[in-house]
Amino acid sequence: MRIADLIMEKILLNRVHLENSRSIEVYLAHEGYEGLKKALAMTPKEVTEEVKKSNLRGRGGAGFPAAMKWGFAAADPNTPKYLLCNADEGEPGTCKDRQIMEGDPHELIEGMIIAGYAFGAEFGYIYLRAEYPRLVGILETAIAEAGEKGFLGRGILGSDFNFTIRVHRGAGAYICGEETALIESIEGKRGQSRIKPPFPVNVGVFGKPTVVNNVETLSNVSHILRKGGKWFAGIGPEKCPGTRIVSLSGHVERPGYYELPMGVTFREVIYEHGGGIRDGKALKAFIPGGASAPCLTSQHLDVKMDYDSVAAAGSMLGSSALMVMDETTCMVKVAERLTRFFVHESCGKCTPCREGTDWLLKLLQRIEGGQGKEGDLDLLGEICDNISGKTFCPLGEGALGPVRGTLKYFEEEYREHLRLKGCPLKAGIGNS
Amino acid sequence: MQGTMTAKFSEEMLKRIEEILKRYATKRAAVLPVLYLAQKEFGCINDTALAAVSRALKISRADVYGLATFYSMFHEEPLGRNVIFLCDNLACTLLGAESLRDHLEKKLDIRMGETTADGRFTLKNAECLGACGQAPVMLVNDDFYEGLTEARIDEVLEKYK
Amino acid sequence: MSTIKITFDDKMYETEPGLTVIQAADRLGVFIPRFCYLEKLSPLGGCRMCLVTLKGVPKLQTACTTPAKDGMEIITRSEEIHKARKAMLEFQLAQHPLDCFYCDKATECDLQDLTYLFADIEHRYDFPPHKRGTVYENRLIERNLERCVHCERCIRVCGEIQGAHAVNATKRGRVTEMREVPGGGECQYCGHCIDVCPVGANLDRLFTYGGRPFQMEMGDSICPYCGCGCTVSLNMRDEKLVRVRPGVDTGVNKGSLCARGRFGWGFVHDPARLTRPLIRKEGKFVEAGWDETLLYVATRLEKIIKEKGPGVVGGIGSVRSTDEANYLFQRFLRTVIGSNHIDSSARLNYAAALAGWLGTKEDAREATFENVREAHRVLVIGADPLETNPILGLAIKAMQNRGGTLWITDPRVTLTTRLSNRHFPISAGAEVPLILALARAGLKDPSLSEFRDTDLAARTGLSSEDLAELAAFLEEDAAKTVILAGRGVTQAPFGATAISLLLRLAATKGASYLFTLDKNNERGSCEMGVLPDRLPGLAPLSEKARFEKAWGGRIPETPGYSAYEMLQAAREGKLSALYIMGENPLVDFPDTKFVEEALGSLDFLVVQDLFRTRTASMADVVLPAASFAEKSGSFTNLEGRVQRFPSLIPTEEGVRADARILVELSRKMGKGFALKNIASLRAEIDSLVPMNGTRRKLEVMGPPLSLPGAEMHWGPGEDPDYPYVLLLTSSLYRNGSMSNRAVGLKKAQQKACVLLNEGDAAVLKTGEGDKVMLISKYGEIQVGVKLCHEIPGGTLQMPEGFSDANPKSLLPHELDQVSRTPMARFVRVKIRKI
Ligand SMILES: Cc1cc2nc3c(=O)[nH]c(=O)nc-3n(C[C@H](O)[C@H](O)[C@H](O)COP(=O)(O)O)c2cc1C
Ligand code: SF4
Ligand code: FES
Repeated sequence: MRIADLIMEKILLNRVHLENSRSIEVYLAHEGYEGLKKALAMTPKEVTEEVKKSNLRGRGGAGFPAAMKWGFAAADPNTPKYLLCNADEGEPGTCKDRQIMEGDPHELIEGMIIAGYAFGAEFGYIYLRAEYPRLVGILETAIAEAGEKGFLGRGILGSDFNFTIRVHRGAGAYICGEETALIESIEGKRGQSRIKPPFPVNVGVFGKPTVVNNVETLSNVSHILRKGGKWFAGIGPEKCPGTRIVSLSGHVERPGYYELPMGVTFREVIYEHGGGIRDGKALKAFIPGGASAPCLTSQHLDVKMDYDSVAAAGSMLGSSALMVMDETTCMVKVAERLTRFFVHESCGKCTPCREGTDWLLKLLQRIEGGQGKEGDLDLLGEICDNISGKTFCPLGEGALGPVRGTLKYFEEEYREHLRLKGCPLKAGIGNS
Repeated sequence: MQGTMTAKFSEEMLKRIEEILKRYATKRAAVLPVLYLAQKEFGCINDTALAAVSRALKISRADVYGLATFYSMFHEEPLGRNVIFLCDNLACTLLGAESLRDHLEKKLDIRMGETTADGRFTLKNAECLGACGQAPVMLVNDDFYEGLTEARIDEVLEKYK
Repeated sequence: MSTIKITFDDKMYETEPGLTVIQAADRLGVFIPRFCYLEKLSPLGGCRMCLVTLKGVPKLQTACTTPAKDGMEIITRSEEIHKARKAMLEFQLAQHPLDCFYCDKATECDLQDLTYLFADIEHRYDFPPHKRGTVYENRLIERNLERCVHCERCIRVCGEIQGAHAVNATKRGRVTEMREVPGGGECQYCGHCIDVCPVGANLDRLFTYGGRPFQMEMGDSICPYCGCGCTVSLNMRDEKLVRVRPGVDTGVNKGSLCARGRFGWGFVHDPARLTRPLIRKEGKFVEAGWDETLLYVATRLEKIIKEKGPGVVGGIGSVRSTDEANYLFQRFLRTVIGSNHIDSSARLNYAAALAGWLGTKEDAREATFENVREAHRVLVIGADPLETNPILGLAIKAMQNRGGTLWITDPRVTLTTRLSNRHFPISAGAEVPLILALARAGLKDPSLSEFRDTDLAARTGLSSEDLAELAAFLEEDAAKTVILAGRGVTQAPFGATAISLLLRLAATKGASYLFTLDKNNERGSCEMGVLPDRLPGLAPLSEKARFEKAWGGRIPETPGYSAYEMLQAAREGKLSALYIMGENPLVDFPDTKFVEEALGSLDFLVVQDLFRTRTASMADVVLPAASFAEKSGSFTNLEGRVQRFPSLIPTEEGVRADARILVELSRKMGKGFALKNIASLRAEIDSLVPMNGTRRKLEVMGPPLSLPGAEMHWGPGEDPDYPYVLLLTSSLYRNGSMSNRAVGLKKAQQKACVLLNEGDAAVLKTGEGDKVMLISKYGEIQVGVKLCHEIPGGTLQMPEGFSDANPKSLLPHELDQVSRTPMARFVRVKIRKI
């Protein structure tokens, strides 16, 4: 039996198909704000405990336990505290948070209110990526609706808990998805990561204790409160329970987004949900977790989709953006395209990321263009080593994923580029 | 600099800035929303816009400049009436974004980053628009167009004057 | 825990807690390379050169961002670390142009040094470098974008220390450039970004190709511009100044300088420097030899004294010259001439503060720069330290950076009011009623009972709540409060009285105080006795016996004229001769017409100066004097520090130091001082004034000060014919004739301009850059307009000190009864468009 069948219904995307799914009326008619009511009847500590029981781990990429973050922030005596919802969704290949916000914004808002209550935050901001301009209005409408019904504002539902949410539109910088860069950006600075310690849970936005959580993480919270942490912990693998919205793209028959329990295999996602490789072609590689994740190949199809299993296979689940490439794809070109992204997005603060990624790109372009030199492959590897572990923030490390992954599994293809002085797959990429 | 001491926002914009300032703990935090307003009012982030933002938020022009150039949504030159962001990140490229780019460039007779002579369109490439499941995609002003083909592009362009 | 134990490369050390690993290493002499880290700046962690291993931590860590903890074991040398650092250098060198041959930073470059150290570095980058070029938007600082190593030191120093925020990183990633906003205009030309740049990306444009360090002589001196007294390192090539830098983190300035200190040295080698004595013969100056000239001066003076007595001779000493020269100057006038008519332009500021101080019994604590840096609150009344005393301004910024609060009362909009946490915009000329109100609240002195708080509040233009808050500001945390006062108070009627009240307030509450002093040796000249009623060490004339004994001459008993009294006496024919050493009253004193008439009425005028100033042009004899770089001695800064400096450049043939001229002149007059050199002169001063700089309160008491009447009128009043109030301000780029001859400062700002409110400009139909005529009852000047949205309607602001348009000629010269200081902060004017 497939794991997906174990849960009868979706959790996060169980309302998006409804007519008028964004409106608070529809939301209220489908268990909306039930979780919040339950939470407000509990103490903040109890709420955190419940979420701890669920073992909800962050969906932004790092998989950090949500309740633990809240606990740290709650323990800091400094006030006011802030909750920042990371809606920067910048990892190439990822389009999951958008589905929630577009189809069910109240699910996120309710989750934020509960999280705020749990660690004593007074202010929430949704840091929305600039490329989602329509979502500003959608979210602001939902926030206003929630406020009218007394779910936001002062003395929420008769309690003495106050909470406001504002939408803060980013301005086009991938690095602002990194939580300390996001904080800098809200403060009106160039979005560059901060030195840690101090950690945001102690000294975050405006110098106050701050929790940064991803949209998907927060959107699970109302369900956990409603149905109990134990229920949630029972879905999928023990260490990493719950569902995941997979953004499936590339050469599959049915690209799109799928909410699936953690722990399904990539084979299931690609071949059953995604309908297999387009035009009956063979699978060449897939990237399991967004641009920073090294690619895997058909030998990894049975790897389970959860943080630990993917890490064990030498890649990462990240934002669970699954990009699939068929046999016609040139992997040097893939590496080049993704590296170009990182060069464009490197903030420029630290030497290895700023200079190193650019150097990698130049080498990749030269190899792809047929001017590659003997030794370029070794050099690629060495530059990766010289960047690795030395960058200021994880962006630089992430930038190595495409190069290292493709070099590992497709070294021969690189060599062929050198031998042939050009791309052996004349088609290159995207011409199929 | 000539004139920078006198550059300022219109009364209406100043009112909106007042509202924005209420949302944040510091004046400076309002700079991104205020830069968006400035871009609207002055057409782009030029010297006047920099000076007006600097004056409204009491941060140096160099600080505003450093910020505005860090983020890719702010432009130093005025853009066309309609701005097309064509995604050419991996998911879109896998499904043909590069040939769509060629098509757009040819059709509008401009290169990426340029504006048509009649000011109708500016063409820009985007790093992943967050619609990979429906690739290839483009964003025209505030609207997404997904599952693009050359024919679909032609159709969409017609909608914008 | 008072110390922690940490291990570097298996060697155990003890050090203070609270440091980062790199700070601990620096203190203990353990080498860790770096580009971005600089002790005085917040850590960045960007260059990744300082990577070290912390035992037990798998990844390398940056020493500059890692807190050093007790028991930490740090490895700074290993195969892995060497490889990592080498990799960072290879990344840097991939883009860095190898143009050391013609880079001004060569041999003082951290990138060169580190590359040399890592000589086994590989250079595998074989792509054409990014071309980014050099920007010359800043008139004094060249920004070579290609050489930049992205350490962001320039940005941090500009923001965190200078508070200018004029340089920022622009764009992002590989193409990031550290630069100013297009067109510039926010730089304050402190030049600190030049010093902190580890490579040749920020360069001094006055120095371009000035020489390699080994071709230069370098020596420390004291900046000749303002009362801060910064330590400057003069760099000379072939006996010519080529560059000035701050001393290496020494002196009051700790590695900072302002525009004047760094870029203002050009006057030293200005072709207009006087190089021969000049004697006016039949209305024309003719060059003459020193012997001949001094003999001529001696003869003329002797003749005048013989005919009219010594009481018709006066002298104006110099707030620019050394303590030693000023000491000799007053000794010369008192014992060789026999006159107490001695004063200087310190009369315009510090002398009034002194009068206030001398009339105060209570002994308030005088602050130091360090006290200001560490204060919790600073209250500024009638001063603009950011313009007049920029390094004191930095101390205030540092105070703010540590969480301190700056409050200021000032009718103007200035750099300091912009920086302040709270600005109380008082009415023009309202400093004294403000201080009276504060004194009433804080002193409970019955003699203040005749004033009514509501009256005072109305005069200050503040609400009674504001006044109450200001009074409360002085009540709390007094030990960490510093009161700064300046010309807004000293140049007000009853300014000396107000100073006295402020000092009493400070003493009663336990706060400390400091006066801002525009000119470098205002304090030194006064303390050396260049005052009509005080001898060296501020000794009263009643103590003259001691000095007579030492000097072997007679000192007149009665106090002499102060500066304006001398001028008045000259106009009335009661003063026949005036000896001016290094001052330019025709430009620096208010009421130019009056000054000109007075000087014109003299029989004999001697001016000793670097330049043929406007005052010198009226003289009978002009004596070419040496600049600070060419002489030795000491300046006393605004805190009272007596700072000695050596002569670093030989003087031109015809130029002589002030002290030497005075010694030789005294000989020519038959009463020669027996002095060998500056050191013996200093010894004489030290024996007569044992604690020079630190004042002895009770011994120097002066007469008590009278209070103004309750109906006293302050401020510019009303006058429909002159509808605008012009407020005088100071400029960072000009404070006297030296700055007007400094090419660097002229580049920083060419001309003076008057700031005009936008609304007023619309009414007058003038715009930015237009020329207007400002007309007061006393004079008129032509000046360009600059619009400003911050200043209130009906008010104009204009800096003094520019040679092209001098607002002092618009001023009256009404003297305060006590201090004899002219009131010179504002005047009513009308504006005519040209
Ligand atoms: C370069 C970089 C980009 C990131 N982008 C995102 C993003 O777009 N959205 C997101 O939720 N998290 C992103 N993250 C992860 C965040 O730093 C952070 O871990 C996350 O928002 C925490 O939320 P969670 O605990 O709910 O996962 C990014 C991290 C890095 C290093
Ligand atoms: S602050 Fe004063 S002493 Fe220091 S450099 Fe500037 S002018 Fe010279
Ligand atoms: S000195 Fe530590 S990262 Fe630059």
